[in-house]
This record gives sequence, C-alpha cells and structure tokens, in this order.
Amino acid sequence: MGQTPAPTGQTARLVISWLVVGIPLIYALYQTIRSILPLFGG
Amino acid sequence: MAALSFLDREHTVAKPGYSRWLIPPAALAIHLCIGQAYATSVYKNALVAHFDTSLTAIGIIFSIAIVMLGVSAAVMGTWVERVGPRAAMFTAACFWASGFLIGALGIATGQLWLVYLGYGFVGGIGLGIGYISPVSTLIKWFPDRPGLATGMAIMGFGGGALVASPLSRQLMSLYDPNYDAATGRASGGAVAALFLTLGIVYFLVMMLGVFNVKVPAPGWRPAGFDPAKLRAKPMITRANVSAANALRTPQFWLLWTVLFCNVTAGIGILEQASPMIQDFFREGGTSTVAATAATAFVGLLSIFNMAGRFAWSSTSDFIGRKPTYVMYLGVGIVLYVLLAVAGNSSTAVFVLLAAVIISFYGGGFSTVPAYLRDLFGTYQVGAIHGRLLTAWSAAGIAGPLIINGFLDARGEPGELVAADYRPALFTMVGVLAVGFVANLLIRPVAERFHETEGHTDAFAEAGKR
Repeated sequence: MGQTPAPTGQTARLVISWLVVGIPLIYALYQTIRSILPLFGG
Repeated sequence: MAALSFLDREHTVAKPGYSRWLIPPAALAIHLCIGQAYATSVYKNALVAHFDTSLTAIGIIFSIAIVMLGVSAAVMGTWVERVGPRAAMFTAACFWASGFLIGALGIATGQLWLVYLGYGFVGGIGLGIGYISPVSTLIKWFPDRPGLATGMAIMGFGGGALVASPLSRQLMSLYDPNYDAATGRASGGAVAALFLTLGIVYFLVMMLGVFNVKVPAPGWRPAGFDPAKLRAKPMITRANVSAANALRTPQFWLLWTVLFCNVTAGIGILEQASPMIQDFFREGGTSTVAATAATAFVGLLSIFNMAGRFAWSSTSDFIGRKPTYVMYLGVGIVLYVLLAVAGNSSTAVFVLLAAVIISFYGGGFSTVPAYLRDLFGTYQVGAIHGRLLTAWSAAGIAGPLIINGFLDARGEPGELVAADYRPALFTMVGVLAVGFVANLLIRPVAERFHETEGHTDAFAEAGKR
C-alpha cells in the first residue's frame, strides 16, 4: 500500500502542478510585502 | 454524456502509485481562484462611478455571493459527496467562470442586475461548491495529517485575495491608460475586460484541479501509517455519521457555535482594520498613522490570515483539535483584553496583537474540517462541513453589526479614539468566552448516531477495519 512505483511522468506533473499554484502565491506575497513596508518605515 | 464521463467518481479512483501530493495543488487551484471573492474592493469604486450608484448598491454584489456561498455549500454538500471531487470542481469552475462572464456582460451593457445575477448569484454557487469540493478528498488522502491537508487548501482561499488584488490593479492599468490606482477609478470597459480575463484564467487554473484530483482506492493507506494509533485517541472516532444524523447531534451545534464565535470576533477586526489602527493612535483629532500605513496594515493582516490557516491547522495534527480551539478562543480572549486596554501603547503592540488574532481567525476555518473528521468520520465529512459553513454566513452578519453598532453609538468616523473601541472589544471577549465553553463541552458522538456496517461508502467501510 502506497509503495507501488509511481506512474511515468508523475514527477513532471507534480512540479508543474505546484508551480501553477506556487508562482501566483509567491507573486502575491511579494506584492503584499512591498505594500506593507511603509508600516515599518520602509 | 459520454464526453463528460471522466468526471464520474468511478473514473477518479487513483491507480496504485498515484502521488497524494498532487491533491493539495489541485485543491489550491480551486481555492486560489475562488478566494478572489475577498478582493472585490479593488474595483468597487470603478463600478460605483460606472453605474453612477452608491457603494451600498455595489456592495450587494459581494453580499449575494457570500450568501450563495453559505446556501450552496449547505444544500449541495451531499451532492458533492455523491458525485465526487472532480465533478464538483468542474461544476464550481463552470459557475465561477460563468459568473465573471455574465458580470462582464452586465458591466459592458450597463445592467447592474446582470452583475448581481452573474457574479453574485451564479458565481456565489461556484464559491460554495468550490469551497467544500476538495475537503473530504484531502482528508481521505491524508488520514495521518488531515489538519496539514485542509490547512494547505483553505490557505489558498486567503491567498486568492492576495493574488487577485495586485493582479486586478495591473490588468486594469493595462486596459485603461487613465486608471488611477490611488482612487481605484477605472473605466467600465476596463472592469468588464478584467472580469472577462479573470473568468477565462480562473476557469483554466481550476481545470488543473479538475484533472489532477483523484480519490484514493478503498483501503488505501499512506506508507507507514498505522490507523490503530489514531483509534487510541478518544476524540478521534473510527465510526461514521451521516450528514443528516450529524445535524441531530449536540456536537455539530457546539462546533457551529465555536466557529460562529471565532469568526464573529475575527471579522469584527478585519472589517474595521484600516480605520481602527488610525483611531487607536489619534491625538488631538489627528492620527499618527498615515492612510497608506493603514492600508499596509490590512495587507499585513491578510498575510497572517493566510499563514494562520496553514500553520495552526498543521499544528492541530500534533496537539489535537480541541486543544487547538482552546488556544484560538482562550488565548484570543487574553489578546482581545490586551488590545482593549493596552493596544494604544504602541503601534508595534497593536499590530502584533491584531496579527495573532487574525491568524487564529484563519486557523479556525482550516482546522474545522479535521475536527469534523475526528467527530463524524470520513463518510460525509464534506457535506457536514458545508452545513457548518452557515456559521460563517451568520458571523458575517453578526461581527460587523456588533462592531459598527458600538462605534456608531460612540461618534463619527474619523473622530473615534481607542477608548471608543473598548465596549465592542469587550463584547467580542464575551463572544469568544461562549465559544470557549462550547468547545469544552464537545465530547465524542454517541453510538446511536453511528452508521451501521454496510450503510456508508466503500472507503469509510474499509477505514473501519
């Protein structure tokens, strides 16, 4: 159970899937942190 | 329809070796898109000018969407469980994207009722179905870490607003060279184009979730996971309770009260965040906190809201769900008292207290599906979660009513000071205390509510063995 070999191409699918959701999140965090810098006098 | 048969539950059972780490990005793809609902303020002023109407009339678009979220999550929960996550996510994507497209048509033709119907009603149905669609699947794939799994997905709902705000500003400035970022004024055509773009982009991103999501085969367990360890914990059941029966248990209504109280208290601060920080540091009629810094404070709270959803929910896997809510509500009471009596001592103290409070607010949302799993089992946990979300809709009305009611009685906006917030904050302390007691009263569900052998689905039956 859970130790069967992974289907072919699964690693690429994992990378692409996480990139599709990860890049917008990183973009959002960057933009928000940039906008909150005035709060700390930046 | 044969072309849509790939959506059927039986076609979504994972083959051996399918990585469960494909499920969180599938869930995130849905929640990141529907989280846009909390970024409507970006184009609010543009719509007020375009339709030549009031802020209240435009605010109704958001209100309809949130009401429809609660209604569709509660009503469609059992259907979502029956058809499976892929069909539910596909339906959510169709409703959510259609909402934007109908809304765009309404803006382009100057018909506000079409925006109510599109973004509010149709999009709101997509919001509700989308919100609950991945929850029970995540819990089944991560029996060892349900808090981590639901935390990742529901964090996406908080992150969706963070993504949509700057993205919408950039798109509006692209579509309208005269776009004024300071006032949020853009032409109606630019907002219509924005809606059209978001509708198409969100549909495509949500399709990533549709194609990646799969349910585990009955009896599947992650490597190294020993269900016997879970069964040894008294607050985690191995039985299953149907959604209909769950409503008859005191546990459901106690948890409803817990969620209602946690959200009411948090929403009170979130809704008032920007004027609140300025009012707390007002001396002689002038605030020492600039408007830009107050806006930045709202952004900071959004980050803590999102981070709390992931961090606290993941922590609940180790310390247990009940102790986690003891922390949200108990420590929350202390933080609200400190905010009321010492919040105006320095901006750093104020920001720190508010940030932790909002992280508890976010954590309350993402920990609750795992709490439901612990109490009611996996059988219809998504449907039960859908019904529980009515607490969110109720808190969405109660929280702002409490804070605005007290503030209206104390004076005019722009003239309030820290002391004017104390009655509202102490009322929130009382609300949190009610939730704290409700959480302490939660015990395992009585055996008479459990489903008997052979009356649940194959996955739930296999989980009992």
